[in-house]
Amino acid sequence: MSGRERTAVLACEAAAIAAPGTDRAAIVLDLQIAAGELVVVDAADPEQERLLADAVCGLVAPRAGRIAFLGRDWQEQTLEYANALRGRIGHVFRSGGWVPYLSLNDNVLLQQLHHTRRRYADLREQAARLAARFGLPGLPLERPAELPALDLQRAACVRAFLGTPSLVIVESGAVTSEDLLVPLVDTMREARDRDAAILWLVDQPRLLRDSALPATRRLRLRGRELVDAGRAA
Amino acid sequence: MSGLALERLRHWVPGWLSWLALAGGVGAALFVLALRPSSWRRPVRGEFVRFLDLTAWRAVPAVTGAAVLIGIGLVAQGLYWLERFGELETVYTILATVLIREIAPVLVGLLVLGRGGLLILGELSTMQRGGQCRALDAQGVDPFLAVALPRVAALPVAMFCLSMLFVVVAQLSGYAMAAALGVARLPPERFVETMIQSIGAQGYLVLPLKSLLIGVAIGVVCLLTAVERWREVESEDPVPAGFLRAVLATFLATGLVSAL
Repeated sequence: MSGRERTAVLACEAAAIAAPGTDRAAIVLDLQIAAGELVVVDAADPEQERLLADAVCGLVAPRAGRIAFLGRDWQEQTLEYANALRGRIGHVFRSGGWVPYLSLNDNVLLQQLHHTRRRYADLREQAARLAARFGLPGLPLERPAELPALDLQRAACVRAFLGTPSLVIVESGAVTSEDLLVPLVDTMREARDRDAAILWLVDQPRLLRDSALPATRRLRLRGRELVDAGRAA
Repeated sequence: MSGLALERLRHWVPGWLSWLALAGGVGAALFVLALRPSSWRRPVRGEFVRFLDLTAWRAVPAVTGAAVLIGIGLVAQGLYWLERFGELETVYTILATVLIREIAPVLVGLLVLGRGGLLILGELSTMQRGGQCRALDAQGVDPFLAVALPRVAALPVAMFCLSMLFVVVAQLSGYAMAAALGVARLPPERFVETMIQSIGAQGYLVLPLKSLLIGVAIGVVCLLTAVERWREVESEDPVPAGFLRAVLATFLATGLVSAL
């Protein structure tokens, strides 16, 4: 890590998160992720993992404590401003999250086209470069339902790193192919060099222990809290 | 007002009335959003054009076919009433008025409901169940803005264009049929003149008003029915309920304008 000052991209301070429709906190988050950090979290329970990912994006309000992204508390933002902030979060979803009636090309570009004024051609060019890195010859014009799962995983990685996200969340099960791990880690490294923070949620203990992953912290979600899973890389 | 008083009030207000109020609120919110230039970002504009193409342009053959059939039916009606009354101008004016003010908006409304309204219902429900709405939210793309607004905005535009097409094609096909049967008593140029005059000042107001109102009603009802089911992931298919509500809303909208 360089000696320069690292600002907190994400700050969760004793944030008690309850599942929708329940009162009891399912998780209590005490987590700070600085710019350029890669934090790997093993969330054994998919429901808890989803709740964590939603809370980090400000989609679920904490019952107590606060969650701030880029120094701004989600609860204090207007809907429009919160959405603009979410536009700076790249996300590799476990479920894919593809809009069924749009082509994969439009799906990948959707977030950037919505939040930025970047030229379409520039976005296409960056997306094509990322796609090539992840093993796609280009961005497919077919709809998501017409494409194989592996191509969807590749495109999901392209979508998450397109633009200059301040935070990238990779959900467990979103990348299952071993072939994708190397380009994914390489792209993460480049993003971290640009001061993006990465939150990688995994459900395989092997990934959590993998010393080849240049993680700055490895955590486990056990019970309701995040605990340290081992030494930092 | 205390919580207890509100609870009593809710007991007295019928469910359908509060649902109508909710629909009105959603419609008003969409109207305000539609007026803001910042709402019309690139993906929103793209979805508006895509949905307009789907509901208006691709519905042209169906609307034209229905208009031709209705036009031919009107000739048969015209001949029947002509035999009874004998006054061509009066019979034509009555038939044209019924066609323009009542038949066209309702029939086109039902076609637009099938083409666009049910698509809103089905796709939004599927997206909620499949986690796509959550994914859009997580990317900062509000589904209400990116999916609901352009679609609901496209429906009244489609309704208006298709209604105008329907009216023109129905009258022209009726004239062509009458000419083929040898019962057309007006020359073509006089027919066109009578056609334009028969709409009348009120007709020029009623048809666009009904078209736009029915389009908005279908969009809002289908959207709201799909949104209601968002909370109930394992709920029943929303399409039957949405279809019924949208048909009722179509009749309500046309009846309301007619009454006014």
